[in-house]
Amino acid sequence: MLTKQLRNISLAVLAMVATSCTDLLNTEPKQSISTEVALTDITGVRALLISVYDRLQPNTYYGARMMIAPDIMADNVRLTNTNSNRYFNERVNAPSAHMQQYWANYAAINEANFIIKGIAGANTTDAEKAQIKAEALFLRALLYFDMARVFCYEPTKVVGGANLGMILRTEPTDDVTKADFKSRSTIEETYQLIEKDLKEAIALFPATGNRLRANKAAANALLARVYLYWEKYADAITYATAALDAPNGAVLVSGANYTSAFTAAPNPESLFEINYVQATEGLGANESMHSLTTNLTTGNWADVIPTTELLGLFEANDVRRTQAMFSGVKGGESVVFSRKFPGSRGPFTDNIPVIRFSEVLLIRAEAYAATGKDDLALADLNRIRTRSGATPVAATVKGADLIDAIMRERRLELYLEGHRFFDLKRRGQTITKAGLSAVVPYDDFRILAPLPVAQVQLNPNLKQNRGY
Amino acid sequence: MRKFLLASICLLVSFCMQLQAQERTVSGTVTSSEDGTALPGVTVVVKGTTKGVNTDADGKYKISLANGAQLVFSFVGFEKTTIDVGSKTIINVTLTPEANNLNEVVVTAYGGSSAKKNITAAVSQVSGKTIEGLPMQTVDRALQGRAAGVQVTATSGQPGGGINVRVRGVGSINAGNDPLYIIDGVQVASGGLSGVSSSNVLSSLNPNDIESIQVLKDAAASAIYGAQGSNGVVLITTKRGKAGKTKFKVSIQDGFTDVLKKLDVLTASEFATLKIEGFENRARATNASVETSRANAITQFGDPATVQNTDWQDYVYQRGRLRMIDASATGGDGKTNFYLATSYNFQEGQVIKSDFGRGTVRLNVDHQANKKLKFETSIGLSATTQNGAIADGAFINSPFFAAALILPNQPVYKADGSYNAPLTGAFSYNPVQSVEYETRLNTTIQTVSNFALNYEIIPGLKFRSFYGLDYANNRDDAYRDPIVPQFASTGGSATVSNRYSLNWNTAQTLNYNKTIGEHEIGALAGGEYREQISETVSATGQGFPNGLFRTLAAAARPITTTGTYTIWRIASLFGSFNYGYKDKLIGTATLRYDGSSRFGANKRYGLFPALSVGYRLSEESFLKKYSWLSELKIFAGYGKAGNNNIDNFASRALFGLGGQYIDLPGIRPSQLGNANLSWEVASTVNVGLNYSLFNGRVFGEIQAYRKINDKLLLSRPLPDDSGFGSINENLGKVENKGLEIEFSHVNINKGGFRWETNWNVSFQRNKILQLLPGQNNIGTGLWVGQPVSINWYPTFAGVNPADGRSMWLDSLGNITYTLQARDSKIQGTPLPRGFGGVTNRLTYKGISLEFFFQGQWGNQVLNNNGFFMESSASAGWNNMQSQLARWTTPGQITRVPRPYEGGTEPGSSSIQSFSTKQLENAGYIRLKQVTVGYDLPSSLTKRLKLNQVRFFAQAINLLTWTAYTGLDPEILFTEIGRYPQSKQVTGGIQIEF
Repeated sequence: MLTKQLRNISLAVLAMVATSCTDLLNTEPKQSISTEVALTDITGVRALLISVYDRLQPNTYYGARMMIAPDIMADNVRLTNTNSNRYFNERVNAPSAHMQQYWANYAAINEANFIIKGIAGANTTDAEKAQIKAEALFLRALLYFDMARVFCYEPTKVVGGANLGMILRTEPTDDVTKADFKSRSTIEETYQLIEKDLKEAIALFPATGNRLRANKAAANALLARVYLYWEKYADAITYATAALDAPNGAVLVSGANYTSAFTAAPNPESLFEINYVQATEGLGANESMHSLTTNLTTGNWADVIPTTELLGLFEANDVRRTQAMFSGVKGGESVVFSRKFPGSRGPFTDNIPVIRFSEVLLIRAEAYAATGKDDLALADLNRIRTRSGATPVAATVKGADLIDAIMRERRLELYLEGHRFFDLKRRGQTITKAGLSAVVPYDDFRILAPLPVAQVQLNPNLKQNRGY
Repeated sequence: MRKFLLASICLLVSFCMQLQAQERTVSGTVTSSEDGTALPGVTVVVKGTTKGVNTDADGKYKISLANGAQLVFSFVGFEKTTIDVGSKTIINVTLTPEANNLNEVVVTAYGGSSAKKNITAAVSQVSGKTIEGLPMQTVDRALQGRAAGVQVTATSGQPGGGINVRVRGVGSINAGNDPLYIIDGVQVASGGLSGVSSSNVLSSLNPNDIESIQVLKDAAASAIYGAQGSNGVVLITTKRGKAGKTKFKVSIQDGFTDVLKKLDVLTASEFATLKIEGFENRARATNASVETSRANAITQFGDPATVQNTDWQDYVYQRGRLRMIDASATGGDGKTNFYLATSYNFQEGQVIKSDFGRGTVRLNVDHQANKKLKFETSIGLSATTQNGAIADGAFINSPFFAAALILPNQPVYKADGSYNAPLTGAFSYNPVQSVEYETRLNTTIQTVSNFALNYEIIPGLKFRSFYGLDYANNRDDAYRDPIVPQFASTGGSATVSNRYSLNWNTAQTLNYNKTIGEHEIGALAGGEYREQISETVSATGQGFPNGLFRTLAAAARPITTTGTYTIWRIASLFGSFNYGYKDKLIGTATLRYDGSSRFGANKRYGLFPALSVGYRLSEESFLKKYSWLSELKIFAGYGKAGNNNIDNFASRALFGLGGQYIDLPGIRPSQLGNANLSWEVASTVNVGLNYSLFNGRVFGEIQAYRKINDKLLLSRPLPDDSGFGSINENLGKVENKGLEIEFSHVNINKGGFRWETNWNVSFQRNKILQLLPGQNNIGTGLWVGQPVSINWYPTFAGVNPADGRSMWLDSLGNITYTLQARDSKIQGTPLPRGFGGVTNRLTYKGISLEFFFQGQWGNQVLNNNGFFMESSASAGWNNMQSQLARWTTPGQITRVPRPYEGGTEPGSSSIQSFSTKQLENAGYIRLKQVTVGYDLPSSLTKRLKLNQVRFFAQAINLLTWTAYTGLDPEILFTEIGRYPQSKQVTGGIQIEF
């Protein structure tokens, strides 16, 4: 009797706990969700795509560094005499001061990989699937291309046989076994992936789209830029033309509107522009472009100004000098500030143009000039010059001189937009620093950024760049 | 079966009645010598027979016996007393409590209990009496120095603030090290809830309601708690009703709190003198004008001859009032017993505008519904309010941190009586003003309650169904008034946070006890389930019309709203088996099977076994002949317990919030899943010896242990190109070993005078055995072969007598002036080599005196305050008096470098560099408690119709002996801006009727 009762109770207790154990132990977080749940619905995929855009915004990427570092590591801008010490090492090309921060792009690439792989099974229309996949492909291409510009030589400009590209990851890391130690690809392979992604994105994009997000015109323009770096000039002309013929509403504004275009959101010239909402995304008095490059607001650093050399290249009536710049005083020093980042989106906040109409024209002009079509090159170049009130380049300027003129025009048009260092690098030119005695020859190891030391120590397959 | 039982009881009763007819009757009352109260449940046996009765609720008994017999009175915790009956018919007996605590009842897991002599695992007890009436808000604070192997460190001096408790060392590197707290079977969530003050969930429990505390220290004792057991388990049992006339107890105590110590800072004149030297030294080194520099220094810091001095510490510290009122009633008719208590405690902090207030109500009821069925409930309710202070960091607006560092030439108030704000120097807040206008209020309502049903299925076999609830609701109000200059730009800001923690557990257990001849067996089997949910909602607004409007509704701009939610669950099966043979051989085996929601899908379930055995040598005939040896037991145990104190979702692949773009919210992968993530496992070997000599005059326990914590959670770096930086894996291994000695002796017990001393000393060593595979270290903080926390600094080599510059040793041991990262090395550990406590208790008639010392030794800690305040007055804040010994003349030997404005001489590292200069020995001995009491003689109290009247006075943290020069050596690793501890002096009266 006793044993029976005992057994019954024990069994009841055991049954209660054992049967319900697995169910009883199921828990789900709320401010995070498990990966299996996250991408089952299209809303999750959409939100993941937002995260990739968010990754472009920090001051260590497009927020400031991508705009300033390429100019200050070259010859377009300098620091005021009294300054907050930001970009000091970049100004003197110290060995550790580069753009190695972009290694963090891999986190965004992983997110793009999740989207590219998972979108096919999402519960939405084919049109939205195509749109989302195209945006993810564009962003992955942009992220890889920016890293390749920083860590690798261009395919046609390899120094000392160092044709190392980036580690290429196209599959999402959804399991720790996939976080393996990979080797760097060749630079050709890296460019081929970027090319493939952009071509696929172009095929998927509808004709028009939001210029604050990836779109077809932007993809055409970015691919044209990639081909320019790759010295595939015919392809650069093709895709630049595609972008200029269907610019998704972007235009070349008149000279009178040149300065005010930088206060509109998006800039009428932007094919792709990164939007900033002041309340949630503003970079504030410490790290914003507005604070670093102007003295328009109390609390600004006002550290970064055009070099005298750059100022000397402008003609007297050029609106880019007369209107898009203004004189000021910083710590007793008479200087000139830019108006490209006037705080038009709220205190210390501006949008960041990534690709402008004028850049695409200059890409095509350079590609024409490089392939001997000087007249076509001159036409594109002079569209930029005449609208700014500058004297058109004469038809007598040909060949290498014409290319020099185009390179000079890129400085005038695109300063503080993240191009100068890369332009010199892709052309294999020495960086001269007026006011500083040191030049940085093209074969100097400092042209490439060091890979993060911790990563090289961790991953035995990861080869550090020469000199570091 | 019921019939069978009934029949046997009838049989037993009739048998007794038959015998009674032949003998005479003796009756009487049994009382305790301690407080004169009646003792119910005392066993009264006629010597040499099996005949016996128990005293009733009023301590009365009646027994029949033959002439010439002897009566033996025995009761757990009291000395056995034998009385010759002779011809007496009324025998009143007073029992004396045993000094020897071997018969003391020890509460064990899941509502069980056992005599101390039968315990074969490492368990420390602290009686509720030890901590009763102490002006301490939380029970964990009262444990300090009372139990061997239990290291208690206050992490804040805020009344009701946080406490760090480590049982047998630090076993984990990245997971939690807090023990599991169980109040009357309810597994409570530890840690603090509030974000505006240092808080402690145990503050919901009035320490005066505590009957006893047991600390389960080794795996043999704690493995029954499985994956929650490896950090030790603290079982807290509250008082329950005792049958008898209802007894009332009222106690009132009043006193004050003071800061332990103020820092000995420079006066404005001394500071200005040093500043002038620093400015002049810099001018000479940089070929600037010495006269101009001197004038500059005087402009900024005043002329040493005339400058006014303010010691800001005098304005932020205060003498706080402390008041405690306790009232309780206990009684019952034996069938229903109750304990009802209420308390109110209010303590002003030793720092201005900080305080702690608490009201509690407790009702514990036991009801025997019938012979088989018994209900128990414990209901504890509390409401706590705390005004906190900005603490735990080098915050320029933290009142006590800033007070010592503010430039002393600035007064608190301007001539017109208004606040002098903002101040000049790095410390720009006027803390008297900002604290006055700032609100940091924590309001917490909490209940820790339970209900249990006990059913005796057959004699010896009991079923217990237990349900426990720990619910806490906390609200934080933080308000910053725009009148404070630094808050003016935002127009003032207010943040309101609401949190709740819902934590409940249930246990269904079967308990069986039986004695078969010389074999005693006991078995326990059961299942348990626990769930804990925490949720927070918080909102911030800025822009207030003025300080009179403080609600969020008045805010012009809503800034942020946030929320968090987390949950975890654990389900378990467990069993234990006890065996005793002839009271001589004892053994316990336990087994627990746990499933936890925190762990990876592949490692969700775990088995935790333990075994311990004891041998009571003193029961052997070859030792029985030595009358001086009352007890000698050796015991040993081995077991495995787990540590599940990891993040609730640490094993999951997760997506978290991922920023925003064009006003749309993003999500992104935040963590890689690890299906193999598991609990950390602690395997403990424990051996011990229990002894009691000379009739209980000397007794104690010695234990030694080795505890290996394996499968420790470490963060393994992943290549960044995977999109993730690291993953949590079970990789590390740490060893703790130690020796614990508890030793008590009754020095004098004569003519009503009694002097007893209790010692406990713990020695412990900690060592990392393994980190990431093939790696000897992680960063500079964790090294294989070293303790889990070390000091990593360069060696300070004093001051160059020739020029007064700081010197350090470089990595090769040579003198250097410029420090490099490679010059740092391991410089001792902040973990103490040992700690302990000693209590002396003297009683004579109604007078009692108790003094209790507590301390620790063998740890080196960084005096982080010294980093700021021992810098030769070279930065923009005040320094310590010790800096007056700065180098001034060539040839001078001193450890204080010459002042140099800015701190960095050309070609030298800064005076303010971390090095062994700031490392100090933080060993200390503290007179933790002194209590003097006087009980009115019972002749007097009887006349007043009272049971007991007691007057008492006590002091806490009265004296400290230490070489540490900072505020308080009672620190864990290093401290900066910690709310300083207090000393307290109180007096009171306690009346029982």
